[in-house]
Amino acid sequence: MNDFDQAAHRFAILDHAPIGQFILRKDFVTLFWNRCLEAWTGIPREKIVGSCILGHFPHLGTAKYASRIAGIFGGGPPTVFSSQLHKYVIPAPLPGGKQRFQYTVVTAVPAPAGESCYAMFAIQDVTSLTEAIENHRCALQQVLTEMEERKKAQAELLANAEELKKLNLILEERSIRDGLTGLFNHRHFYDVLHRDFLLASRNGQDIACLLLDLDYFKQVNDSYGHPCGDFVLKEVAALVRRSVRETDVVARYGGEEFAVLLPDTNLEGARVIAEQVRSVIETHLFCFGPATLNISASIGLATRLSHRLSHPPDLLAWADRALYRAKGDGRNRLVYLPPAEAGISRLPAAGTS
Amino acid sequence: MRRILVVDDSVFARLNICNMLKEAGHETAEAANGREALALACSFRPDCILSDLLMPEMDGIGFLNALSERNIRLPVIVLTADIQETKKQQCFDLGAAAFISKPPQKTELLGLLDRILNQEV
Amino acid sequence: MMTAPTDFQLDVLKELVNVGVGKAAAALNEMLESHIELEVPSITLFQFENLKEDPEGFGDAVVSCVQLRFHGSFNGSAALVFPPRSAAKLVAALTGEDPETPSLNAVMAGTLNEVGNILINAVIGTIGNMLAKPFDFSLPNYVEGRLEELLNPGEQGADLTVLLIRTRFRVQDRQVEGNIFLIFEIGFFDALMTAIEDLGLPCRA
Repeated sequence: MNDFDQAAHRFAILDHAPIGQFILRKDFVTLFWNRCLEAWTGIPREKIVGSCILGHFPHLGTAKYASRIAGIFGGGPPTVFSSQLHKYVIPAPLPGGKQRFQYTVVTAVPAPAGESCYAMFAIQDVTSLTEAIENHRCALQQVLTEMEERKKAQAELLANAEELKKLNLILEERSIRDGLTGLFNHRHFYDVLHRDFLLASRNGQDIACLLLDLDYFKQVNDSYGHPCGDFVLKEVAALVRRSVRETDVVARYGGEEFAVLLPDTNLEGARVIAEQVRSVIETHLFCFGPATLNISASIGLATRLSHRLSHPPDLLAWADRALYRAKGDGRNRLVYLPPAEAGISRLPAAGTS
Repeated sequence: MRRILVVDDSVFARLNICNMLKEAGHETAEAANGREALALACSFRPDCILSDLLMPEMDGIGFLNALSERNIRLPVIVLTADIQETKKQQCFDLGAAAFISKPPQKTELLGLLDRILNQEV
Repeated sequence: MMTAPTDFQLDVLKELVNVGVGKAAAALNEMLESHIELEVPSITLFQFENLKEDPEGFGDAVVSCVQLRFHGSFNGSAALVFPPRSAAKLVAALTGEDPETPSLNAVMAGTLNEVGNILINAVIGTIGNMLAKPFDFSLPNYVEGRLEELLNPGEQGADLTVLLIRTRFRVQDRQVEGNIFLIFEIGFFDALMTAIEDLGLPCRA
């Protein structure tokens, strides 16, 4: 029996292996070629057994493979050709054109007595494993990318929320302020008055209110124009704001009317401040272009305790009444109406000038 | 028949090679590194040098360099386990006569030696 | 108990290991596209029970390991051990990729098997050639685990000699540490020295 018949007999069982297996003799002649390889390569064993394998697969003769395989013929330890470092040992295309990824182990197998060993090649197909790992890696990469994008989106949202908060604050400010003078507006003053009055009531403190109206303001507009009028209003606003304390609330109450709330202030204290305001306006020179104007203001004054009030609107009403009297008595003055004078427990709604 | 200088930091390697050389009738001297070898190259006056590459103090490359600096023209056969093209080229550029891989087979070594020595004559 | 090796015995071992590692470097470079350099290894011998004293400082870390067993004139096992993450770095350097995943996947393990196999085969092969006696080898196997568990040889633990070969791989400017632990049954040195004597070398220099 020649080598090939012997091999066919001896290695027949390899035909049942799900891995590609072939046997080489020391001279690189193929001794055995299993069914699996026949299927993978399309090369039937009759065509390859008995001849030098380099005729079919010349790359096995290159240094990369030949020297390691030569070691096996000498009875050396098994050697491994991994899928990452070698594309394939025996090229085996898949339907569709891709190559199989292969993990190959070569082991020495005893030959008939006296001869050097045979080399047995066992080729595992690791294509699906490799693909699975690659898919996993891609999926992982995708997830990571998505996470990055989500993080970015979140950061954007946060930034937008911050921006929104800022804008809301500005809006809030605008809704409680008068555009021209920057003072609080009528509605906000009313809210503050309401709150601070009730607070004062609870704490047993006094609270005062000044209503201030500029004298002959219509004439300023008629003589010098509305821009001048606006200028005057702005100046007065600043003057009043500067003359009162930080805790006092100053508002533009009407066209040429200003309101000041003086928390924790009694009648005497209120009078002092009101007089300061009146005097400062009277003495101030309003310079608008070539013109220099003098302006005066009439001020009405009321306090919670002095009038024994229990409703916030009443404080305004009393101040308004006092302002009316100031206008009637000659303007450019401060008026406080003691409770005795009015004689009415309920006053009409405030707001005549 | 000839004088051979064997340079290797391993006692065992030197022993191994010298044994082979003595059996073939050659006279041998040993050096453990390039520096010792330089001294012996002058005093022992070898016909040929067998040198390892990796040695402490002065390695094979350094030794080859030193030889050419001193204009000592002696055939040097480089012994190494790590035969790579780059190393080979480097040694040849420095004047090495031949390369042999470790551990050397007796017949291969003696055959190579004869060829080199006869070229010299 | 093994007696301490003589200087000459260590010299022989060192030379065999150097040659083995050198051959491995040559084989790897022949095969790979990137240039790999293996540093001259340092070797240490000790009893297996001293392994618990953790000469490498691996501690409880999970290491990567390519293992194989051999039988013949003497039995033992060889393991190429990488500290955590080094193995992944080496494979990535060899295949020219950036290591993205911290642990090796199955495909990368295959690569490690090949590289480890080449290295271990070269070293054991060189020693075996010196002894001129045949060995039977198992297939290389990649595992991860704690060093002590991986190298566990069974009941004979106390009588075994460990040859530790420390080497560094340099690929494309990246350096990776690798350690080869060769574990031999008792009588290894005697066998080795006898073999050298058989070659006609006066071995007790």
